[in-house]
Amino acid sequence: MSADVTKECEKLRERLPEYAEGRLEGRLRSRVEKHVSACPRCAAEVADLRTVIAAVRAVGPEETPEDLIPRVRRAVQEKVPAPAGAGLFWPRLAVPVAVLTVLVAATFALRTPRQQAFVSGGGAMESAARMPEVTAAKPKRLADEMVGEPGLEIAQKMEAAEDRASGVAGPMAEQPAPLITGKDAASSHPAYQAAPPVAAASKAADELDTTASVRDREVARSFDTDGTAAARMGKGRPRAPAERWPKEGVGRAGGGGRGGGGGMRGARAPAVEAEMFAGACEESAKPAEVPPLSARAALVSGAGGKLIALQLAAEQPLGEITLTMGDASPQVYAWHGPAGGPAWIPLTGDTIGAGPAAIPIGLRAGEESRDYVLFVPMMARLGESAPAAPVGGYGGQSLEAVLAEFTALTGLVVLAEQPLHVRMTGEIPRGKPGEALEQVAAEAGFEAHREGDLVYTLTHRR
Amino acid sequence: MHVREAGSTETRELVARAKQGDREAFDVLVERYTPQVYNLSLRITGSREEAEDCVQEAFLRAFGALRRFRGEAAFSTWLYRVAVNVANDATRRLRGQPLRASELAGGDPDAPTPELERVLEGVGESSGGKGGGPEESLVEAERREVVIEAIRSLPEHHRAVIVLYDLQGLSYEEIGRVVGARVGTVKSRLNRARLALKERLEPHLELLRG
Repeated sequence: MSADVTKECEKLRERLPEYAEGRLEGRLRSRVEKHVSACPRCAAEVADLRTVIAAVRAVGPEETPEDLIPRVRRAVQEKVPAPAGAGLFWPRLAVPVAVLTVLVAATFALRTPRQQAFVSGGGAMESAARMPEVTAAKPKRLADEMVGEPGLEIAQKMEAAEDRASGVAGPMAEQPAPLITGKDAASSHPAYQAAPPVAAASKAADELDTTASVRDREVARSFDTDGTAAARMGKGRPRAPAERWPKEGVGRAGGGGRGGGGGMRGARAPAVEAEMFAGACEESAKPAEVPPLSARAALVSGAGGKLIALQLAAEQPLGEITLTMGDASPQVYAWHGPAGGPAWIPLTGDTIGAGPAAIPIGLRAGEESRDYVLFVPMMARLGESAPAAPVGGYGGQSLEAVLAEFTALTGLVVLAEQPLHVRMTGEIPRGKPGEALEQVAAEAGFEAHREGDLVYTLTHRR
Repeated sequence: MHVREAGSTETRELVARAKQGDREAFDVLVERYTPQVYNLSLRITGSREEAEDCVQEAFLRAFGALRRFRGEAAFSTWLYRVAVNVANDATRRLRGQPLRASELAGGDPDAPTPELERVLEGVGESSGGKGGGPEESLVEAERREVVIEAIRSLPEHHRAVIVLYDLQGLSYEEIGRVVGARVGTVKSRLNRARLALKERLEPHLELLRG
């Protein structure tokens, strides 16, 4: 087989399934057709694909078990509360949520293992050396400071990375790859090119200080599996939300049946402003030990809390990083990206209302990027401490109600029946964070106005 | 198979009634969509028992959040989105856990798989029925079994598009709305999913060709 044919094989291989199905059209179809007629290997691949496609379609539907429909009906009748009026949140919320500006400062810091040891030995996290110290700055300035768009390249790589991480090449993808610790990652990376820090920041650094740093092994282990994380959640946390939320939290939260009248009816829909931050954080005091890291964050605020979409990317496997939410001591629920991996990493109950909360984040071996969504309920923004009781703590509403309103405005579903889980209804839109934000905004009924390269204002259409 | 928005006006009315708390509307929606949600869940989780739980969970979540359904997308798309998430969650939970006793056909490793068992139960009928004969049914069951297992072994994002496209009959656009991806992404993901599936089915191609 000639080198040209082999090259063409590589180029066209991914389109063979479409061709096999007869869905390719135009010039591309002609090109594939021409190639397949000259390449026995690809011709065989097409034949195999046709066999596979036919076999999959031949599987067909199964009959629904006889008792399933009555069973589901009963469950729905019993567990889905009757709606009575609409939401109660906005009219009762004293805070002028109508025009909120994102008030988040994100500071990313990387600590090398050596520094980690220093931190461990030295005591308080606050005193630890933060390498890429990023001070609060206005997003516009950040946008101006952005040099290039590392995320664009990242976005292009994401699909391929997703496949590599999840196993197109082999069945091993079914099991999450073991995390590479900071030490492993650092030692495996030969060089590091320092770059100026460009990180997210906003108007109120004192409100929510976000710090990323390499974290200790214990946290790394907690990141490892759902089970481990859950096990950690279950111990010694008398005030963890897991224990406060009812089983069918979504239904109850969404029902809006509690409290007095009012609700969304007649209430002026909040105009929500959001700002979009993005930046690359590629700096270290120990450049030789840390792989290049990109971190981008998208922030949406004003719907009962803040949604922070964080996209991490690195050219090499990245060790554990801890995202530390600062003095506001928020309850934060972290969601890991859609492709495999542990689904949720909660902040432990120990962090609620007491000291900074820490979320271990990182990339697995074989991953080039990973998305996170953190949800910070409104209370954190208000700077108040988390309520001990579930009801009445958030603007007169339960946390569930706050989350329900958040969902209503952002299109994100908050699932309370699985304690500590907050998740999107689908995958985080991949691609550039700006596009992700636009998509989320569009689904939630917002108009996104691009003000700068990575700065957006969202206005509610209603 | 496909969640059809046949009588979409009717569906919209049903959804509107359900939002108002009309219990009968809930019943109709459950009856209408359960078969599709069940099959979707079954193919994603690979377990009948789990799929049944997923159906219930999906409806509870969907109806619980119905107030927030704006009607900008089809109800079916919205329901699918919830169902895919529920099934994926269940699959993650299942992963690494032993199969439930009922899924192990009595725990005997030589016992027929659920697919084969169903065929065996219906041997009398099929031999005198459509003319396929028990042997053919067994081969068909074996084919189904290997394909289902291969689908189940795919990574989550690949499994979802294969199930939605090939088994549920959704269009690229519909899948995009369900999984929150653009059409181009859906296409490329489907292509890769099929290539991955073909790799897994490589040892069984002769069987599949029949």
